[in-house]
Amino acid sequence: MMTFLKLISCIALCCIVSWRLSAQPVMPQIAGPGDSIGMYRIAIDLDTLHFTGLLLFIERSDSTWRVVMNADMGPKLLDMDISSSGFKTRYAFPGLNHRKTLKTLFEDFRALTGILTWKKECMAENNPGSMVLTCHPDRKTKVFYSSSSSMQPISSGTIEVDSRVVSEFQYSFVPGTHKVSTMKMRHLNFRMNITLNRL
Amino acid sequence: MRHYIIKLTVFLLVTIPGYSVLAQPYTPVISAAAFKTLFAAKSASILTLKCDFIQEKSISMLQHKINSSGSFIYKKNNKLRMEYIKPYPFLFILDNDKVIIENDRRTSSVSASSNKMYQVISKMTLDCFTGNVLNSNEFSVIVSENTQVYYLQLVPRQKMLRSLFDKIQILISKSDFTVDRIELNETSGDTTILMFSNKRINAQVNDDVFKVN
Repeated sequence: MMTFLKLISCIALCCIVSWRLSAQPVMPQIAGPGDSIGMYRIAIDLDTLHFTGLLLFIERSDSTWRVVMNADMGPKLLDMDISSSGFKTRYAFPGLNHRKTLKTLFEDFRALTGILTWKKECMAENNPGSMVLTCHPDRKTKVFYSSSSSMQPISSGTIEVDSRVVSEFQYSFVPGTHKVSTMKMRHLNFRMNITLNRL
Repeated sequence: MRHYIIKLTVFLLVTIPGYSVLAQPYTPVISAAAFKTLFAAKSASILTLKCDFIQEKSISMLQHKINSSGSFIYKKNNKLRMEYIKPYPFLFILDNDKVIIENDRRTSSVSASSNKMYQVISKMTLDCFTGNVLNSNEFSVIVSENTQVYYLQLVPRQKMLRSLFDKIQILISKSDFTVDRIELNETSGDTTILMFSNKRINAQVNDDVFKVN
């Protein structure tokens, strides 16, 4: 009897582990479908300043996103290429051209675009009623993506640095699709919120 | 159908004058110094200006242009109100050094000198309307003309401005010496064009329009 119970337990454990590892997350559609450019209205709250403009996410064939931000009054503020491992600034308006600001924006856009999930280092964990995808962009940082199930797109996430949650983000979708309508990013260690509404 | 014809007429009325002016050939002014004196004198007589504007943004990655429009108020000295109405409400007010921004029904106030973007935009717009742009050491200016307008081509000298713009092109109406059009050619290849119309010079402008409740 004991042997039979052990056998059943082993089979059950193997099934659960296999199910948890085989599930694949559904990533939100930032640009497409059928288009490599996602156009959003961006609002950034930074301390007392509320800034609005236009943001373009351009999906490139070399596993990078190009992110272009323009002010409402016209001038380009930011133009950068982001990948899972780093960023290259093509242009930054003098007021934004600081290493810390650019790095923060890069980390936010990297998490929001889901570019990290293209790396094999991400691990999916499928639990009853939820699914969590964990990515490790570097030794200190973890990005968690959550959805209600493996069939549903990622709807929220958090960024942890040294096991402390530093920011939270959420997606809303065009009803009946995986196409993102709104993205929100909130920083917890300083006052900065980003809201993106698809145009 | 009637609605479509009205829209088309408005579009043509707004766009054709700007393009036809650009299409006419320019010749250099005989005396840049004489133009400078004339422009300074004429713009000094403009105490207020109310007009409408259309902003046309071309981004190299996008095939279509992004258009916005709104109203523009200038009051001597150093007061500016640009209210974007379409497609999104956005209000920019400059009252000397104070900048007030209202968007998404939220208001923020900053010092123009502490924010480079607002500093550059507001200074440049004001300098164009006051004629100070010709006295500025920040640009080298070439002045040409045709029968209808003066055409100013500004090339930045200052390092910071050079990183932003290749050149700035301004059309000034010969009839009233106000700005018809400002074209910002960014170093990235993108352009922003501001076209001003329905101008009312020295109309009454209350100081309250440069405040937000």
